[in-house]
Amino acid sequence: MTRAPSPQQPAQVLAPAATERIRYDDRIVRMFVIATVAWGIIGMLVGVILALQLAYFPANELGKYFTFGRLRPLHTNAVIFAFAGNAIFAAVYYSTQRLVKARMFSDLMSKLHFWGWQAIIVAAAITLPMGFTQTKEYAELEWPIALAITVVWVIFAANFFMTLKHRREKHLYVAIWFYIATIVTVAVLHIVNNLAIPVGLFKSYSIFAGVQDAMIQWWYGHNAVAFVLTTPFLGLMYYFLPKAANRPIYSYKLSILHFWSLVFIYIWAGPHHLHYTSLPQWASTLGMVFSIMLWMPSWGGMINGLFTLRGAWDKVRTDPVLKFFVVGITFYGMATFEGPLMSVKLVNSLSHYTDWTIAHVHAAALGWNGFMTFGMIYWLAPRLWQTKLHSTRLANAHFWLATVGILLYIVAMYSAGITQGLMWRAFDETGRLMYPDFMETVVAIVPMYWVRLIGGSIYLFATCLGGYNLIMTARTAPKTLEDPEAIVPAALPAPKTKSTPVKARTAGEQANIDEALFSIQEKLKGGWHRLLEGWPLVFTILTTVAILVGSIIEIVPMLLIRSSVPTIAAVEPYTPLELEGRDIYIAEGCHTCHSQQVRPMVDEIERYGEYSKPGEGVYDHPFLWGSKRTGPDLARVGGKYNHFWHYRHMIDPRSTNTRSIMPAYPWLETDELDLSQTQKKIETMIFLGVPYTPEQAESAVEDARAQASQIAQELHEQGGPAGLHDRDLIALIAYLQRLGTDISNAEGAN
Amino acid sequence: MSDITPQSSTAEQDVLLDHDYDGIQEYDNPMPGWWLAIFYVTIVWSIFYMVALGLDFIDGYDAQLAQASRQLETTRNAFAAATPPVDEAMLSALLDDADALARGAEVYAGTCAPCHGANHEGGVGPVLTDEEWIHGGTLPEIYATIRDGVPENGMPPWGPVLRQEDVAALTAYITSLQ
Repeated sequence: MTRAPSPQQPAQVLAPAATERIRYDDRIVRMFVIATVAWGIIGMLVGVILALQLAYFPANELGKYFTFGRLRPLHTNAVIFAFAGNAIFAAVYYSTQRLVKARMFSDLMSKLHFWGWQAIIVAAAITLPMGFTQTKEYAELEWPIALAITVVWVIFAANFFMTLKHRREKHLYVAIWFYIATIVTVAVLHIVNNLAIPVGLFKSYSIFAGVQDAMIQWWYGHNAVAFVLTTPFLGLMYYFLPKAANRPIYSYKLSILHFWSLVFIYIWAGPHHLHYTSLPQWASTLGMVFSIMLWMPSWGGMINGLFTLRGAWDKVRTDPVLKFFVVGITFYGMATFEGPLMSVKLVNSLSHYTDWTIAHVHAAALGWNGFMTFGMIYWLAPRLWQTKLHSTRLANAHFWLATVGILLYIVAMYSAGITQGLMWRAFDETGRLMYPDFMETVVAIVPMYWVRLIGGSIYLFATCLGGYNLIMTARTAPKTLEDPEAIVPAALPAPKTKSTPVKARTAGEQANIDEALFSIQEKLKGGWHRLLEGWPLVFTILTTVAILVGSIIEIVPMLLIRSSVPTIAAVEPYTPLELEGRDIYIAEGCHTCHSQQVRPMVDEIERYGEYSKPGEGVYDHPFLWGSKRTGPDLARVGGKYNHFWHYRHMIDPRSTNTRSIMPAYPWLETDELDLSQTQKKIETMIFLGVPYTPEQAESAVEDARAQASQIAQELHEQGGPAGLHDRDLIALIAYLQRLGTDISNAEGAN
Repeated sequence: MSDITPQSSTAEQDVLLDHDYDGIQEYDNPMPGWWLAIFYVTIVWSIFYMVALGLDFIDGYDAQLAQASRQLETTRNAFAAATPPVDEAMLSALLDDADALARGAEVYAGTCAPCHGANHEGGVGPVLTDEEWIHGGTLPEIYATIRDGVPENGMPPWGPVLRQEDVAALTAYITSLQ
C-alpha cells in the first residue's frame, strides 16, 4: 500500500511545479542498521575467539564444533556478509530513495530481502561449525544456502532497479553507479564460483578442479573484496560524507574516471592471490599488473573523499561522524596502496601464506569498512529514530578505542607476518634451512598473537559501546516513528517524441527538428556521461560489459586451453577411502591453516619437497591450496611419516611436537566412518569428468573397507590401537598418505 | 589537467555544477594532475612488464629457481670443502667434549624426547639406554640412523632438520648414555 505511485503519468502536461508527496521507507533502514551492529558484535566476537585459539591452543577444546578450522569461515562470513552486508543494505536503502526521489519499489521485497538475508546468516552460523563447507574462501556455504543467496540477491536487485525505474530524479548520482556495479558483479561472481554438483543436501563438489578451480575462486575472492567491501562502501561514502560535512563533492570528473577505471580494472586483479603457484604465469602476471594499475583508480575515491572535506576540517575535530569517515578513508588509502604492493611478485613471495595478509585485510576491514559503517550509523541514528544521539562522548570513546585496537592489531600482524616469512626462507652459512623445524617459526610469533588478541578485543569492546549508544538512542525515540515525507516531481520529464519520418517538411516540422537538435546539443553540454546518467539500463549494461571483459579474458583461456594444465600420466584419482578422508579434511577445515601448494622456491623445495605442478590437481574438486600457513604445507606430506605418527598427531599434536599449537582431534578416533554416500560421491566425480569406471563406483564401499582394514592393520603393527578400521581417522590418514605421492611414485618406477 | 593544485584552490574559486542530489552538489574541478600522471605511468609500466616477461627479458619462475639453486649449491660446496668429514674419530672425540654432550642433551630434549622418552626410556621409539641397537650401535651407525631416520618405522630423517654438528653432538650424547 505504501508503494510508490505509478509513474505512468501522461507525458503531455508537465506543469512546471507538478509535484507529489511521498514517504521514504526508513523502517527497513532501521532494521538493517540494527542487524549490522548485532551481527558485527557476533562476527567480531568469533574473531576474538579465533585470535585466542591461535595464541592459546587449549581454547580449541570447546568441543568438536568449535575448533579454529570450523569457526574461521564463520568469522569471515559473519563480518563480510552479515556485518558489512547489512551495513551496505542500510546505506543503499537509505540513500537510494533520497537520491532518486522515490520510495523503494516494494515494501514486501524489502522485507523479503531483510529477513531472507538474516535467515541465510543464521543458516551459515549453524552449518559452518557442523563442517558443511565448500571450502572456497568467502563462498563456503553449501549449495542450498548458496542458492538462497541467489534468490535473495535477485529480490534485492529487482527492488533496486524497479526503484530506479520509478525515479523522479533524471540523473543517477555517483553513489548509485557504485551500487549498480555492486549488484551486477556480485551476482555474476556468486553464481560462477558456486557452480557445483550436489551429492547430498549438505555436500557438493565444485565443477572446476585444481588450477581452474583456484583461478575461479580467487577471481571471486578478490572481487568479493572489490564489490562487497569496496564499491558499495564508496557509494556509501559518496552519499554520507558530503551530507555529514555539508560540502560539495570535490570533483565530478574524478568520480567518472575513477568509477569506470575501478570497475574495469578490479575484476582482473584476482590471480595475484596465486603467484608462484601452479597457475600459469601469464595469468598471475596479469593479476599483478592490473593490481598496479588499480592503485590510482582506488585512490581516486580517497582523494574525492578527503578533498570534499576542504573547508570542513574544523568540524572533523568535534564531529565523531566525520572522524570515523576521515580515518576510514585514510585506511582505505593505505590498504589500496598496500594491495598493489603485495601483488608485486617479489613482495608476495614474502607476504603470502603469512600474517601479513591478515594485517592487510584487517586494516581494510576494521579501518575502512568498520569505520565507514560506524560513521554512517552515528549520522543515521538521530535521523532514523528522530531524536538526539544518546552520547557524543561515548561515540568519541568508540572512535579512539577502535583506532587504538586497529593499530595494535595490525602492528602485531605485520611484525608476525614479516618475521615468519623471513624465517621460512632463511638459510644458514652451511646452506641448510636456518629454521628447518616449522614450529620454531610459530613459537617466534605467538607473542604477537597475544598482542593481536588484545587489539581485537579493544575493537570489539568499542563496537559494543557503539551498540549501547545505539540502543540508548533508540529508546528515546518518539512512540510512533512516521516515515519522513518528501515532495518530489510527479514525473520525470518525458522523452522527446521522435520527429516524423522524412517527407516534405513544413516550416513547422523544420522548426521541430531544429528544436530537437538544439535539445540534443543542450544535453551534450553536460557531457556524454551526463546523458548516460539518465539511462540506468544502458549504464547497467555498460557496467556489466566492463566487468565481463577482464573476467572472460582471464577465465575462458584457463578453461579451454589444455596446455594451461599439462596432464601428468602418473596422477590418478583418489581411492574411495582417500576421497572420504579428503571430505573429513574439508569438514574439519584443515585447509584454513595448512596450504597444499609448494612454491618453486629453494626454501620451500628444501622444506616440503618438489614444487607443485598444475597437473597434480586435475581431480581436486574443489582445490585445497589454502591461503595461510599457520601450520606447514601438506602438499607432499604423503609417506613422510608413518600411520602411527599421524594417529598420535591427531589425537594429541603435542605428542609429536611438544610446542605444537594445533587443536587435538580425539573424535576422529571414535567417530564412525560414514560410507553411505561413497558410491554417490564417486558417481558425482564421474559426472565431473574424473576417470573412474562405473565398476569402481559400484565397488566403492567395498574398496574403501578393504583399504581401511589394511591401513588399520598397519597402524596396529606400528604400535597403534587395533580395530580402528571403521573410524574417520583411518580415512583421513589414507588421504594424507596419498598427498603429493603420485609424482614421486612415478619417478621411483622409472 | 596539470594546472591544478587542489590545496591552493579554495572553495570559493571552484565551479559548482548544477547537480543537486538530495542536497549534495558537485564541483567541476579537474582531476589532480599527479593522480592522472601516476595512473598513466602504471598503465605504461604494465604493458612494458607484460611484454618484457613475454620476451624473457624478465626472469620467470623457472629462471629464478635455477639461479637460487645454483647459489645454494655453491654455498653447500664451500661448506663441504671447509668442513672435516664426520667419522669415527671425530665422533669419539666428542665423547669427552662436555660442551658437545651438553648440546646433545639439549637437542635430545627438544627433538627426540617426544618419541624416545624424556629419560630415554622409550615410547613410540625404542629405549636408548639398553644394550640393544636395532640399527647398529657404532658411532657412525648411530649417526647415520639419526641423519637418515627410519621412515618405515615412523622415524623421520633429522639430517635435513638438524645442523651437522648437532647430529654429531647428539650421537655422542646418546652413546654416552650406555
